Amino acid sequence: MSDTAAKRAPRQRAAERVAALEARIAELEAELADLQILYENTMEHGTALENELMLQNERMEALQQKMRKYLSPQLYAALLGGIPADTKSHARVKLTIYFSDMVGFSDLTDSIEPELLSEVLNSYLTRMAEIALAHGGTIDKFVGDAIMVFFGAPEFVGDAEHARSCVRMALEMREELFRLREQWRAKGISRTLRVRAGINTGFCTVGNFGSEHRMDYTIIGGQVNLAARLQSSAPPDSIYLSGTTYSLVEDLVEARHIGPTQVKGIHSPVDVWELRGLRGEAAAATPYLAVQGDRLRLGDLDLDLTKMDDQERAALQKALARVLIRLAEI
Amino acid sequence: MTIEQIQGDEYAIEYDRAAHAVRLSGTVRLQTSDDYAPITALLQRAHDEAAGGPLSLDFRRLQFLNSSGISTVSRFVINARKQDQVALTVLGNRDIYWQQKSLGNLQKLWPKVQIEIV
Repeated sequence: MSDTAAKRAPRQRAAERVAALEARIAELEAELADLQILYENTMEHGTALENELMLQNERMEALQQKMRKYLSPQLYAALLGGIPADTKSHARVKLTIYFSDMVGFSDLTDSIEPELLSEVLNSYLTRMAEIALAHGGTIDKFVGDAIMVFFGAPEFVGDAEHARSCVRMALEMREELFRLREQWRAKGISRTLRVRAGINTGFCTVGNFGSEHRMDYTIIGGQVNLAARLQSSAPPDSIYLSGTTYSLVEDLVEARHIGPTQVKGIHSPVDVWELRGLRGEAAAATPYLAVQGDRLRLGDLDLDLTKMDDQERAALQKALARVLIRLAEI
Repeated sequence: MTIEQIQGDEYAIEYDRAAHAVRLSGTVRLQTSDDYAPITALLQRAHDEAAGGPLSLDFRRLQFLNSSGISTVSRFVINARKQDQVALTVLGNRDIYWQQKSLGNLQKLWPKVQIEIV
């Protein structure tokens, strides 16, 4: 081998090594570029999943808000808070139960447009529900225009407190009904919608009732039925109390003693009182007349004299007499 | 057997030989690349058997794929690009939020990949 050839051989090997290294570097660079894209793709995928999680959370939040409207607060808390919402846990608790039903609402359903009917019913139930919740009541259910509320479960405060909150609620509901009637009349509803209500206090069984697939947090028992029967016995725009409830609110309210009354489905007569109002305010209370200072508001008068009972007649006479007296005083 | 399947608790991966298609469904959230090894192997087998023709990866019924999963799919696409033996189509579902972005990104690794989000 010549000297030149001997010198060229190591140079060529070095050049080959450099070329191989350059090829390897290019390979590694391509791999690095792939890994960079892969890394970015994975990061973006993670971000997309996080965004989706946020969207799902927002959807869940919206769904929860909808659920609130359809479920009792207790079932709602049970579903969201992991409290067992099974059909096996029940308790016997002394509760005060309120029932109300609108008189003549069924007839109205045939005579006005469904949209207006829905507006009337929804405005009524919405306001009544707000009042019930404000007084700490548990809304058991709405059945059409009928409302059932109870006090004492799931949070138990005290028998007297439950009864007092319930009568306060019932009176406020009646006042609100009078206000709503004016709005409805302005919308062209000529029929006067009246509500009868009944309140009773007694031991009930409270818990989740239904099937594993569909259940309600509700109450059952004879005392519940009695509250419902008091409601159906009460004249329109009046609130009947059982003797048991009255004994718990005696110092708070003005009430008229109706006396022992035979109520459908209950064997022995029930002592019944008609709630007139809170003491002090009650002197002025009649379902036909509201007095606020110098302002008198007469309720809607749409009377069928042939069907008017003595009690209703007396209440109306009293209201009109008071109006006449006030007019004479001016 | 025409259909080969990997069945997990929350997911199924189905290799349809006749159709040259791999269909993923459910929720895939395996933790490590070792956990993903059977899926990687299935994809590679599908790739090798489709050599010279089309191969489709169908994600339309896959609700969730975690980051390790997208990384596994991305690596598969890189390998397929290096071998350049199949016409790869990726099918996605427009109603599944992550698929629009993440499946489209596979084209950055191999521009020849057909992405069809329907």
